[in-house]
Formats: sequence, C-alpha cells, structure tokens
Amino acid sequence: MDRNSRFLLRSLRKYYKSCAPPMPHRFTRREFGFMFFDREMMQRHTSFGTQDELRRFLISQVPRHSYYSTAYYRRPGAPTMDEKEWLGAELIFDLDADHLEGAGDMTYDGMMSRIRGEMVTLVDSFLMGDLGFREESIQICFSGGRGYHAHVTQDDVLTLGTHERRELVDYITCSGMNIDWIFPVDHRLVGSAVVAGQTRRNIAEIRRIPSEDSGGWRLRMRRGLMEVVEDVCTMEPAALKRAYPSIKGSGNSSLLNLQGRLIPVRDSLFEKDDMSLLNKRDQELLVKIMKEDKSRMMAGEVDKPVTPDIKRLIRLPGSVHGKTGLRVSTLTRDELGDYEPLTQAVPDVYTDEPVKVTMRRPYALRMKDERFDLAAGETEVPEYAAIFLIGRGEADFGHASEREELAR
Amino acid sequence: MDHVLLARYPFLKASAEFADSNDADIESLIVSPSYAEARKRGMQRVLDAIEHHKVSEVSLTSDYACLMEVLSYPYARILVSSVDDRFLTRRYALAEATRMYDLLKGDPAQSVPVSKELEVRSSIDGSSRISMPFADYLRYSCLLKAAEWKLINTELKDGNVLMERDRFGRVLQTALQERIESELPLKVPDGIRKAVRQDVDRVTLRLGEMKNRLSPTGGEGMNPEYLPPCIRAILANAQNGVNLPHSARFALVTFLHALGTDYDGIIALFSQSPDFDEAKSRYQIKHIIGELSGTDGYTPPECSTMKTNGLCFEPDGICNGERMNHPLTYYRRRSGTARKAP
Repeated sequence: MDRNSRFLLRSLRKYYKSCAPPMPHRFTRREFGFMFFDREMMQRHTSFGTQDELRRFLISQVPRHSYYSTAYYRRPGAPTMDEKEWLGAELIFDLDADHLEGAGDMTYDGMMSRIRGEMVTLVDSFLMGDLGFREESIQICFSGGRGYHAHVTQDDVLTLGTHERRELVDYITCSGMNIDWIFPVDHRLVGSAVVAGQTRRNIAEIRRIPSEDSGGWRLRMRRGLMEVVEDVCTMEPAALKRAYPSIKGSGNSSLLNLQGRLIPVRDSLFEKDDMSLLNKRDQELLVKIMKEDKSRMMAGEVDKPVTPDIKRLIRLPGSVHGKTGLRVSTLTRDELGDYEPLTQAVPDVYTDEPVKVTMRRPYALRMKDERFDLAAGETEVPEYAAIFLIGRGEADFGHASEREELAR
Repeated sequence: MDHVLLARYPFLKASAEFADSNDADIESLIVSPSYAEARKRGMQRVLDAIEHHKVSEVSLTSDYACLMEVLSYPYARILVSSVDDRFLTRRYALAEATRMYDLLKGDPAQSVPVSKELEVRSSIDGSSRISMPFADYLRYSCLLKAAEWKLINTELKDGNVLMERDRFGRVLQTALQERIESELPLKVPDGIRKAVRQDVDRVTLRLGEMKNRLSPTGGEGMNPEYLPPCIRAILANAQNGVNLPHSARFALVTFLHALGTDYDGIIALFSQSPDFDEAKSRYQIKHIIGELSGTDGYTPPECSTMKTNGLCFEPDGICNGERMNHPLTYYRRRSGTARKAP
C-alpha cells in the first residue's frame, strides 16, 4: 500500500469508528460488496445479520468502496445468483456526471450543480409527478462521487422485472414516443362538390392537441407546444433556429410568415385543442419541432443501464466514497434543492488540521465555505481537503521534497 | 349472479360455486352420463385452442346449457393438464383469454368483476375511462410487444395509467392468459388420468399434427443437409473442438432448439469443445432454451444480427435470394416445408 492509500485508510477508519452507517431496509436480505485499498478483487456475496457486525467489518477492513444489493435475496450470502434466490429489488434511478457533455472541462462544483438540477427534474416531474410516488417512498442519495441516486421502495414496484423497468427508463428519457398518438390526425370533411356527376369530398387533415386534463407525455407535450408557439411568435428567425435545430433548414422569410399566421390564432389553438386554424405545412412544422427538439428538451435524464438491472450493487448510504472521502448521504427532497456535497457530505470527523500535500497540477476548489486556489507543488491544506484531493488523484500525501531528502 | 354470465366467464369463483351447488364434483364430471355434454364441450374447448386459437361460442339458452358450459371448463383444464405440453398449455390459455376479450367487448360492464377476479387493480375514473396503477399495467403491457403499449404512449397520471375500456380488455386478456398458464398443469390423480385417456389421446394426436404443420422440420428430425452455411460452419467448429465465441454458441443453441433438438442433443455437440465445462454449459444451454425459466427460450438471431456478430460465413445462392432474412427461413426453404403460416 502506498502513502496515499495509507493516509486515506486512516481517515476512513477514523470515520467508521465515529459512526455506523444506517442499515438498508431489510438488510439481512441484502448482499454486500466491498473494494479495498490493498486488493484488486471485489469481495462479494457477503451478508450481515446485525448492524454491529457490519460496523466491526468496516472498522477492521476499512473498505475503499462499500456497496449493497438493490435486490432482496432469500440467501444473500450464497455464492451464485441461482442459490441466492431473488425476491425483489428497489427501483433505482442513477444520475452521474459521466453523461454530461464537456464534464471534463467543468469544476466539480459546476458539474454537481448541473446533476443536481437534473435530479430535481427527475424527482419532481417524473417520480413524484407522473409516476405518483410519495415522497416517503423515495430515498434520494448523494453517491459520494459524481452523482445522485433515487431508490424507490414502494411495495408494488419491488417485483418489477427488467423489461418493466426498462419501460420506465424509456418513459423518463422519452424514448419510443409515438408522435401520432400525442397529436393524432383527424380527417374532417370540410366541403364537397359535385364534379361531372360525382361527389368529390374535400377532407382536411387536422392535428389534435391533447387537452388540459390529459395525462403523461400528452399533457407534457401540450405544455411544451405552448412554449414553442410562444417562441415562434416572439423570437427572431435566427434565434429560433438556434433554439430548435430541426428547423434550421427553413428560410427566414418562411419563418416570419409562419409567425404572421400563428400570432392571430395562438390562443384559439389551445381553446379548440386542435390545429384546424393552421394549414397543413404549419401544423407539420410545429409537430416536427415538438418531436425532434422539444420532446428531448423535456425528457428526464437517467443512466439507462442502471434502472433495468435488478441485481445491482449500489453505494451503501452512510459509507464513505474512497475516491473523494465524501459520505454517501441520504437527503430529503427539500435538502436536495440546495445541496452542496463539498460542504454537507464532508464527515464531521475530518479536521481542519493542516496536512502537507504535493499538488500534481493546479486545482481550484470550494469546500466547507473555503476557497482553495492551489498551484502545482507543495502546500498545506486542511485534513478534509487533503482527503478529497488525494482521493481524486489531484495531490499526493506529504511533501515530495522531504521524501527525497529522506531517501538521500 | 346470472347463470349465463357464469357460463361465459367460467373461470370466476362464482362459476365454480355454481357447479358445486349443483353437486357436480370432479368424480361425476369425469364419468357420469349426465355430464357427457360438458365433457364433449370441454374437449371442444381444447381442440378449438389447437386449431383456431380461440374457444368457440355456444348458445346458452337454458340453465342446463349454462351448467354444461361451466363444467366444460374444468374438464378442458384436466385434459390440458393430462397432456402436459407447454405448447398446448400456452395455446389453450391464449384461446380462453381471447374468448374472454371478445365477450367483454360486447359486455363492458363485466370488466370490473373480471378484473377483480384476476387481481388486476383498477377503477373507473370520472370520464368513464379505466385507471390502473402503472406497476400492474407494466406487468401485462410488457407481454404485448406493439409500440402502442409502451408506457410512454399511455396517459400516466399520478401513478395511474388511464385507458379506454377496449384497451383494458386486452390487459385483462393478457392477465387471464398469464393466470391460466401459471395454474396449469394441475396435478391429475391417476384414477382421473385413466378415465380421460381416450380424450387425452385424441388431443395428443391433433396436437402432434398441428406441431408438425408449424415446425420448420415438418415434424421430422433435423437434417444437416438443410442447414444454412452459417450454422453449418459454427457446428463444424464446435465438433472439431474449436473454441466458439459466446455469440456463436448462442446462435447455434437457439437454432438447434428451434429445430426441436433437446438439451441432451445440444450438450452432446458441445462436449467436444476444449473448454467444455458441463456444469457451466448446462446452465447456459438450459437458460437459452428456456428450461430454467419455464419459457420458450430465446429465438435464433436473424441474418442481420448474424452479420453484425461476424457469424455470416460463405453465404450461398439461397442466402442471397429474395426475402431471406433468417437462418430458419433458409432451413424451411431447403427442406421444402416452407408454407404459409396457418
């Protein structure tokens, strides 16, 4: 074990001596898994009968990463999945910075506040909104690393299988939507004429707009359409095309013409709940924007493979993430709103005592209301910051020069 | 409850109670001459399932006719259980469920008691649509593959899916199908098994004919001459002890399984592989052919998937022919048993 690992191990042991993690719901039915500082292999198939057993394990072994199964098993400690016998699993939604475009260029802080915003949308609009989960059946968790999890423990979702859970992912991320179900086409007789003895009927195709009392994506798309109509009526063509890339092929004058036709009828659209006041081309243009741009903008984010995996190990709340030193923390929805991991997920047992570190590269950090603008090279930072920096590989423990001297 | 209703929905608890109240026990159902009508109709239910995917209608003009109809249901279940063939069980379950769906279309008021019986939680919302918890909806909608059943294409509000009655009927159909599949086979005591043997034999015969009609091999064993080049190459590799990638094993196992090769036949081919580990292979093969989950297992990959996986070896003239998109189609075409789906 190198000096960095030894320092982190000491810090984590101090944490585990100070408190025991709360046990997951029905913990005797769970499999636990651990990764260590000094071993490559993950230890799996572990189960604990009491909280004290787990605590003693954490203090003596000091795992770098601790996980538990979202699944409940009849025999969680059995070595194969067959013998474990799956009984059910929490419904998990995972949001991680991995999916963020340009995450590499963002500060940890900036990244985390973006993810937090996505988590708020996921919880408010989808989990507590459309899916109707009550707040007490959702456990929100800061992962200790670069993301958040939501664990849902409502009884009737525990036995949902992989396919069923994938449907939830598709729902949230707006995948597989049938736009012709959202805005169905009505065929309406708008007139008829007798030509050469034969009646010719004039049929118009009219897109319906979902009503205010509809549900699911129909209602979401109705509200989205209101915003799109507002934008089309008020924005310059160039700005409009930037906002809605699907129409970037349209000419500026044709967008201005559309604006001219849309402004007088915009309110009637949502009173009549259809697009009968627009010509076919205008209708289809709006539908195209809704389908290709707006629906994606309204979709929620989740890490797609996580939710359908019903036998997954996930970070144990109350344990410490070995690459940040931050506590895997459960939060209420209210707490999530302004959650600052670099303040609130720092264990109290980490001190302000200065620790010598050698920065590998310059790094800026705001932690526990302190700003650190660190240049590459030797410096001293409070213990809590040292744990974070060393864990993330931004710094090495101790001063390199002293070690070289010692070596000489 | 109205006797006609009990006869139309014979899986209801009330229907079984109606039979009980008429002193119709299993014993007499099997042997008594007064229930010959019920046995005949029970047989019909099963044969309809085999041949038409749907249990046919009968007229229910008297209490007697209703009782016979109610009793024909347990008799049909005894027959299906005695044959104990998963293909038949599934076809029968589908046929009973389809019949119920058709009946509900003309009789929407019954969807409420039926859903209670099937333990499908639901209620009628203000606008006379049906509302059901999404978790229940998903259990059944996932069995229906069409995009219109995807959750995103439903009106989901506060955790409930709202739908028209007709769609709810399809949900109930799936629920009944699931229910029957999970209940059958019943344990049939030897005495009863003996008593119904003649009828069971008739069902078995008709079932065999139907299976042959549907099978790619026309009911005969697999003929290696008809194998498509891709499968032939993988098979040759397996037999020569070449270590196969997972996708190749999967393709081979699913293909052989589709042609009716059983577990023993498949494992025999793999035992020549250099890293042959019977315990591991057993698990993998049984998983793929569905023995572990009690399902039909996976279907063999189509040509495009085989190409993606780099398993399309030396395609021949038939491969390059028209409408050739699946290795099984190749086999059918070669063996000349390709015919229009019944």
